[in-house]
Amino acid sequence: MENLCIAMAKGRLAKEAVKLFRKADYSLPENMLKSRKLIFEIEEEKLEIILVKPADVPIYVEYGTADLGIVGKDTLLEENRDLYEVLDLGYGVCQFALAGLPDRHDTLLERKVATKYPDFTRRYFKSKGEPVEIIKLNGSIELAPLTGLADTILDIVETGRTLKENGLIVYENIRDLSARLVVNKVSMKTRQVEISKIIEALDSVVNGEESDA
Amino acid sequence: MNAFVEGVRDILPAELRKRKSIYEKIRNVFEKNAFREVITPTLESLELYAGIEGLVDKSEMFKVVDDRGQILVLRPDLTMPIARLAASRFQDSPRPLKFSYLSSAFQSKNSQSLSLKEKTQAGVELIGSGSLESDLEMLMLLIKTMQAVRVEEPLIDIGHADLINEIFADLHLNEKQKIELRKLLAAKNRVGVKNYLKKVDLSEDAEHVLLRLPVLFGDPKKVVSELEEMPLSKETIKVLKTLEELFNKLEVFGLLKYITFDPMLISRHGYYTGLIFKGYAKGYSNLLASGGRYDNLTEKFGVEEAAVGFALEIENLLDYLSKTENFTEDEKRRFLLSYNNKPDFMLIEELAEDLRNAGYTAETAAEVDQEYLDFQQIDYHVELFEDKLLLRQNTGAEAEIERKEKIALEYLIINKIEEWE
Repeated sequence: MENLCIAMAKGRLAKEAVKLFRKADYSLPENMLKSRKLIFEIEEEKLEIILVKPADVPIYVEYGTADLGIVGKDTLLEENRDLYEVLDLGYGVCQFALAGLPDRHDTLLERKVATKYPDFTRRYFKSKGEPVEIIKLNGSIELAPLTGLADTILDIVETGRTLKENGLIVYENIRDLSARLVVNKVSMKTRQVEISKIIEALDSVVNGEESDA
Repeated sequence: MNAFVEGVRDILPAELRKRKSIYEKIRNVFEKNAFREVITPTLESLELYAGIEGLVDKSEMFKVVDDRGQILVLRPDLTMPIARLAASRFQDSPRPLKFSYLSSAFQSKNSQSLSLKEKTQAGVELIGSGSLESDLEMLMLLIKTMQAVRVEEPLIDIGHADLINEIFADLHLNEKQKIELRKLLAAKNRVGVKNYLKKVDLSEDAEHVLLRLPVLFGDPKKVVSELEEMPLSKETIKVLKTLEELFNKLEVFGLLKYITFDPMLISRHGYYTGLIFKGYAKGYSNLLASGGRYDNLTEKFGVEEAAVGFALEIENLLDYLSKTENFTEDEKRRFLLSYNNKPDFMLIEELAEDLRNAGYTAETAAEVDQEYLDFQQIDYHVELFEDKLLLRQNTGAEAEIERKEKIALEYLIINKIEEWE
């Protein structure tokens, strides 16, 4: 049978993921992320690792091109795909928050929210029953309130330093986020033994003895 | 003008040929098992589908307004129309009713990976029988059908709609907890369950069961025996016992190797009342079939009766088969006959008809170039000259045949290509 394919979100999450696998005694080359390769065959572990953009991880896994994926909860919430989310990997911890200028006051018109996460934002304000205008941006979200494009941003906040340096404050913490291990729903059934092995191995590294109870 | 509609597609000859061969095999299995095919209308009334929880969201149906202002829908599924048929036209017919279908279903948004708005489904419905044997019959028929279209290692994942509800009832959960836990269990999110348990106050037994459920699936007998060890009520055990009996029967037929059991298998279709199952193929990460028991569905029409059925997702099946190259087609050889002298068209046309009668595909043309031959994937090109006949195979092989009367020519052509093959 083909090697199990794991899609990892390029960047910091992938780096941490490689560390995690190495801690779980998987022989992944230490410097594998230094090259520009996007696909790695780890024959001795019967694994194939692909590096994709974070937002693409849930897509690769839902379509079954990848059997497993490692990706932030923020991306999962935005993409809202049909997957098994089996493990909280406990790193990449941050929060979804609403932020903006300190002296925001209600305007006559709907609140304008700039975000990289338009779908999550839409669902969030819908659940609160507040009508808003959503402006999808692709980066430097902090700029939106400073330039007057929007009065609020919905973004991930880790330490809050970027916000502070740009003179913004957090209005509201929406929820905690972290990296997750996701599994294709069919692969979980058709390749249960191999996948369970990986889940258990990572679980024992992340959660230690406690999880064996 | 841009006449292109997203989410729908033309099916071209090469694909259609493969489809037809699959359709034939599926129909063959269905017919042999006494499920007779019906075709229901493409348009149904919105009311037929309204109010059926979990079937298709109202916003995801294609709606059409007729000349009297009545709202119709392009059928989003094929089970409802057959349930309607059973409860109306066949209301007084002896049971069980056995129907099959092979048609398109329409949904404006499709949560399945292949984002088609029109998808083809082939399935069966067995109406008026609630026995374990009919559950068994459905599972066996699904395995047989998948094997008939050359799904090498079919895998049927089985669950039971009552199981999660019974387990929740045992654990004395309130509605809010049920909703939250159902979502976490459906996602096999063990960590989520663990975190949730920290927030609510449940008995130790309940916590033990809930933490085990997300990782409890797979080998049917192992899963059943582990569940039976758990502190569960008589009702839950009863559900497990019926499943166990089903597994034992499947084992008798040597089919248990194709079966896995997932107690937390939760279907998108809220109408299932008992057995739920999904069909997969080893090494392919998309759903090939799904089915189950829906004993309450006909209630809508005033008659409640037991029913069970399944549907194969034809587009996914085609995708799987083209990935595994598991197509078997007995494709007919294609001939093109061309001539250089106008009066010869009569002889060419007659020769072509003879080849058609002999089981080949044949077309004629006055003149033809290589591009056309390639495009039409012609296997044999016959060119008629005044004194001879040139037979060319697409591989490059060539033979010259002396021009004789028609019958001799047909014989010589067929002889030659049999020699080549």
